Amino acid sequence: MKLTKEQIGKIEEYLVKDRIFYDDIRMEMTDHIAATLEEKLKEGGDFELALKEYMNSHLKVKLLTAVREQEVLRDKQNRNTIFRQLLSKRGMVFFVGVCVLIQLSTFEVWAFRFFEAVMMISVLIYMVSEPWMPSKYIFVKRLFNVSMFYYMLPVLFVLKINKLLGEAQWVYCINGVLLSLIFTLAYLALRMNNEIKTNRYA
Amino acid sequence: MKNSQLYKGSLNTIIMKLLEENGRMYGYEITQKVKLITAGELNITEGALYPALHKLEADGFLDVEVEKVDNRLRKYYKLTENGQKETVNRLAELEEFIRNMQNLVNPAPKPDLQF
Repeated sequence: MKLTKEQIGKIEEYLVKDRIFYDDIRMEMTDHIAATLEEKLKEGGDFELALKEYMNSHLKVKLLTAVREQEVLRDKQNRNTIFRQLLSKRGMVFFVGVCVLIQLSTFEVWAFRFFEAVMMISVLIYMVSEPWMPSKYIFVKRLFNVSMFYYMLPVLFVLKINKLLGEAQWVYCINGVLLSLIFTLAYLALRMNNEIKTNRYA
Repeated sequence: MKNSQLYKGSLNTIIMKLLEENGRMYGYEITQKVKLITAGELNITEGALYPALHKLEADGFLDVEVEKVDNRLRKYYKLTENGQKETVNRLAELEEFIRNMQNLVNPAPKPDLQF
């Protein structure tokens, strides 16, 4: 028995709830479960019941263990790709460009505040909307957590030092470099994401 | 996977060998094929198979093709040129391992030591 589009949708719904981050991994797991259920339902039976049984069985636990392992692998792979792109000509040009722009803006306090405000407002919007965010937007949550840990904490740390040292010029410089790094990494991550989508899933 | 400790080291080679024979395969198909060949003796679980496939893909031994099949997207794996070379090496290594194990577990009687 071949599953219908609606039945495939049901499997996907379950997997979205399990917070599988990468689309292609979720897609592959959907196919795996669908194939397993098709095999099971060959001699008849109720789809809903079979799906519930699968989702409550040890098979699902094994599947999710595999997913987490794949996500760790993929995260590592993506981090390496972004790092390589950062060190490439394009990455360096983008980084230097943003850096110069931010450093120039430090001559006008309002302009520098603008860059900081963009970042702070995005964080604020995220914090307010997070509880109501549908589970299909888990990528936003993940991006936020990762950027918070790797990039935003250093920025907040520098801001704190800035206050302690009485707004020294060199602190502004470091702050600018860190902000440029965040913008460049966000740009590279977006580019990589688009590339993966066009190359593999066009 | 049955007797996982014994089979674990050979999982990648098993996958590569199957892909060499069948051209391209998807995850579920690999598990079923192994079950069929070994008459149900060896059962590759999802927990072992997918991370192994992704690792082989990341190492550049496998290539991926995505196709729409029966209302869903299906990810097919096939060997890259590097993967094909690596399969030959790994199979030779596995055969040597099996031969050595065979000699250790069930040594052939040496005629000059017989009474």
